[in-house]
Amino acid sequence: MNYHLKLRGDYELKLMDKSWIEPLYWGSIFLGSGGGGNSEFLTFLLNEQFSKKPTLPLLDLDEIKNESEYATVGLMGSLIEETFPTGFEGINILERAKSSIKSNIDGLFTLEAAGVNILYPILVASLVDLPLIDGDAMGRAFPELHMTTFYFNKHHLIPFVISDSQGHYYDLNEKDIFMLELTARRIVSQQGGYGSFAGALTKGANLKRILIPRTISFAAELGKTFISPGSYSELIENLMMVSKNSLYGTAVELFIGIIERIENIENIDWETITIKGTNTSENSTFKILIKNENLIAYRNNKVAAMVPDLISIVNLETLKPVTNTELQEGMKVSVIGLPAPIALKKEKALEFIGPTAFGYKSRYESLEELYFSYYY
Amino acid sequence: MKGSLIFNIQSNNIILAFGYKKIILALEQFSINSFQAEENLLQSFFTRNGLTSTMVKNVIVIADLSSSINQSLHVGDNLAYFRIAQSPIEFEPISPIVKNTDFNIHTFNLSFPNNPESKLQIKKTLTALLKLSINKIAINSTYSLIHSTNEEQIIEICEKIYPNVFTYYPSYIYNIPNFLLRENVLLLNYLLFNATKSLNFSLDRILKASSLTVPIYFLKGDGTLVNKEEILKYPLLTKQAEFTSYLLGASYYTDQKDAIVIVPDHNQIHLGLVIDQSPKTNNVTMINNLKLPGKYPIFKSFNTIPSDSKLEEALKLLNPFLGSIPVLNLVKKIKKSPSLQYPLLSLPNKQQTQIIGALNAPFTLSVEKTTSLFAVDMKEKEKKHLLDQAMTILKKNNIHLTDMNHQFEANSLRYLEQNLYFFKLTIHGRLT
Repeated sequence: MNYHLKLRGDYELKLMDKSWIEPLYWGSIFLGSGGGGNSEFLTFLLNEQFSKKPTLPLLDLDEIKNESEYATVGLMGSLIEETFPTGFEGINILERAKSSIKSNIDGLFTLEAAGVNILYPILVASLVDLPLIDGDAMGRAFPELHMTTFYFNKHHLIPFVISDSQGHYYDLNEKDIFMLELTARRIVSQQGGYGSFAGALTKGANLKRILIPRTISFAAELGKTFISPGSYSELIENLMMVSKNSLYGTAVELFIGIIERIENIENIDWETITIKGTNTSENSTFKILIKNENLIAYRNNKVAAMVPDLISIVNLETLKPVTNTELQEGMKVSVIGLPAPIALKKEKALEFIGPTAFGYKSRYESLEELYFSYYY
Repeated sequence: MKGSLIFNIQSNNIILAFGYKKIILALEQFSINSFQAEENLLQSFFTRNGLTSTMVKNVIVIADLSSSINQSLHVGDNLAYFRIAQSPIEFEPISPIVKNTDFNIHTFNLSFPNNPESKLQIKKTLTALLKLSINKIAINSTYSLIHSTNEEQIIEICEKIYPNVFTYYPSYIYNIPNFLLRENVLLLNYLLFNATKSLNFSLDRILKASSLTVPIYFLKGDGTLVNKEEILKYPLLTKQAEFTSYLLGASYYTDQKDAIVIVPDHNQIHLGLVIDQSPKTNNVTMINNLKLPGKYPIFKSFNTIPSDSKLEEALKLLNPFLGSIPVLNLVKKIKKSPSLQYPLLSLPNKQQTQIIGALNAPFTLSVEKTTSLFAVDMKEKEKKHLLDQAMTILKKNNIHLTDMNHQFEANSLRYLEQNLYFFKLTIHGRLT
């Protein structure tokens, strides 16, 4: 991966190019914590786009202008395997969102630096020739719009435009993000299961307060460790090294084993994965509760990790991170925990993204608390 | 005694063998040139080994047809590819494979046939193709799994405009629920069609010269046999068949139901896993960074003889069981070592192992259907319908099986349409 630096006034501008695609792809899966969707098709589209326009500026939060307007683009719903966004719908919805303000948009940002919502904003930004901001509003994957730092910071996301998979447009104006989420979700689920969105036009000064910084470049650094991992022990060492020097926290190996069962819990949207231990965990069992993303993990029935900390799974046969849709019974896996950025662990954030927000009755216990001797 | 005639077709040579279960009565190696040129190859093999054509109940072929992709890429072929989708998809199909080769794919983004502009769009495209002297068209439409009519209608429109000029390769015949994976399968299979046809032509010619009219089966990568017609349509299914024959053979030869097998492959060494006498497979495999759906054996590779510690690490990663399992070794340079915690059993003969693998491979037949369910009991009715359909196919093709069982899968395609299901019924059995 190359960090092209271009002088712009007093700043050195970071430029993304083709060499960022693969690291971002693997990083996006790891930060998806089991969910977030698989962005493989976007790697093809981006590869093509970078062939036409080789670089895209990536702005640090301190590089954005306080008075300028910035917008988000992204995908929501389950990406289906038959029709998928190509980036052009993003241009149209962005234009539509922009029509509500008089000034120009000076850059794009993503709400979710994980899964499909890392590569998709890069694709649209390149198509419309705007820089992308190195930061996001989730620091990982979450299923709903109100699980963003915008909500915790009491900032709205309007104007908000959705394009469904059939090419229809919807202008949403709910200031309350929870209401906006309900309306958007209804549209998306009724119209083919996925949609592209644009909006959340926000001044630079506010974004500096709201966004979690440098999550895009972190995803790329993280993803780099999966490209030629060598052995599993080298992979773990590199993951620890990269995560240690980040806003997150040092990654920790939670468990190694073989997936014994993948089960759906009837009538509620929960799934469980049961992993039987191997190596040093031979007599242990690990269970992960899933609702889109991996939310709570138990080792021998005791809590081993909790949302918003990330619980990601690596396939030991390929040494690559995997989404939950790729898991199979009999697969040999390692479960890795990654502490969430501080912004997600504050009390006001935990109310909306902690275990209780998903219906779990106990308080959040961080990885640092659960593995005290490892971290301190 | 009746047995199976095995053709093990490798890059430079061909092994002919005759046997039954674990007994090999004859085994000879020939150059690949004599396979293509000598009509009487089989006759002389029979004479030398005291066999007659009446002793042959079927023919089993071990041939990894996917290995001929590179050859096809340098023939200088041109193919038109129609992508039928809601919006244009702007990247080159199967680019990691076709980049810098003589094979040219001319991709056209077209709208659905019910679109009023579609006919005009197709006419313009076909006229352009004629100017480029391209007469082969691959077609992949979104949702072809549930609406094969889109592709059929496109072909119909093309035929109305220019009758009998173009040859069509539609994607709906593959029943793969993912546009991009279907695209990979469609185009890679196209690249293999000529080599597959030519192999079958040589095979038919040789069998005819010995008056053999028995069914022909191919070994698939997943370790099961399918009839020739399926392979003519989907040659990619034979990917890793050679590797699989080693896995099956080692397992049957030693009577080890679960084992790790070390297999030689030119300058490489592969490690594969057998569970309950079947290769452990993944649902996807890769060819030059391209993803392919389907069941193909998992493996770990080494470019040189691994050190004991590296081998031990790979064995641990592959081994799904607690404790060690037998390691069946076909690589002479790998020896038993006190530091290796796995029981290592060396097999004496590579060729025989492969033949035993093919002789013992089970037969499978899959029938699939996509339909909407509106009543609880419909699932059972569909299952019965597919079972009847499978039995009819077996009867029609004169395939007799023992130890027969079936597996029924019902996968909800809710993300495509409410109540939509993809049903697959697979019949397993042993050829009698």
